[in-house]
Amino acid sequence: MTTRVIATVFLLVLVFGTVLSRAHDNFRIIGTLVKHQSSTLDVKNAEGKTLSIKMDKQTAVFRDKKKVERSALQVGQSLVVDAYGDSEDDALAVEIQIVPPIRGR
Amino acid sequence: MTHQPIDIPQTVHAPTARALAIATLIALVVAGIVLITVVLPAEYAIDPLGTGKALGLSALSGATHVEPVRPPEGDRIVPVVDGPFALYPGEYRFDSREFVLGPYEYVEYKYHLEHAATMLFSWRASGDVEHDFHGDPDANPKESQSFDKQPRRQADGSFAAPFAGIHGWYWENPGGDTVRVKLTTAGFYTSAHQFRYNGTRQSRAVRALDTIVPATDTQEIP
Repeated sequence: MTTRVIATVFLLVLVFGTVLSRAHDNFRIIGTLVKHQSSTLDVKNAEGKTLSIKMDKQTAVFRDKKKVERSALQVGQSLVVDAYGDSEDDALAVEIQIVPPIRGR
Repeated sequence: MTHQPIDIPQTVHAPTARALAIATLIALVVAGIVLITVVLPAEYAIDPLGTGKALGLSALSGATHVEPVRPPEGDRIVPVVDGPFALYPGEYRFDSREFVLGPYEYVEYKYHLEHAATMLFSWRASGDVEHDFHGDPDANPKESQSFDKQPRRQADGSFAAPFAGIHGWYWENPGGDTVRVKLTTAGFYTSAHQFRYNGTRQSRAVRALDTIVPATDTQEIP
């Protein structure tokens, strides 16, 4: 019985481990910063959809190709966010570029 | 038909508390090992033991994930090359596309070519673009190989695939104005695949030769 319990738990761990370690997709989110907190930023894209993007310690912020402090982020700025995750709605920002105001397509 | 008697135990013993505790402990240890050696390197690029690098899992955590793109089953055009001459088991195809890139948007457009299969191409951009002509091998799509990254607004050329895989262009609009890129190709490819900045992927139909309406010998081609 103990062997069966151990085998079952081991298989579950392997299955969950495999699922958790699935690969991610890349996303570029382009839009206007509407809200900024320490670990998230909300960006409204050209379609009018607001996407909440996570940030971590590795998330880097750039302006004119130079790295700047995260405090440089201000509501109303145009941003280009390169992120990865399961979807646009569940993505972690890798690099954030502060760009000149985007006039639209 | 005879039935064999089945020996069914009359009582089933529940696992003892000790057995459950041992199983739980082992599960926790295994979970911890999997977490440290597999999940953390693959999911968060945290690789304290170096197992992620050794097992090739570290690449999963970054922005480099590429799904292999296979040609349609039974639709491979593998050339038989004899010096400067090559024969293919099928006709070449052609394709023409225009991509509209809004500010800071990018697109990848690639064709599936077998090893040594060839393609002709011409493209024009209406403004500055960052571009990279590259290929992702079928055998290992993460091992992308770049063939041309020179800054240019247009290119006309030919390409012979050094390996079976998807080969094509990455174009990025680096500025705030919309840019249009027009691409025309002909070659021994079997399928086209588009990947856009917002994560969308689409397979695109390529045209067969019988979609060309030939001019008769009495018609002047303008």
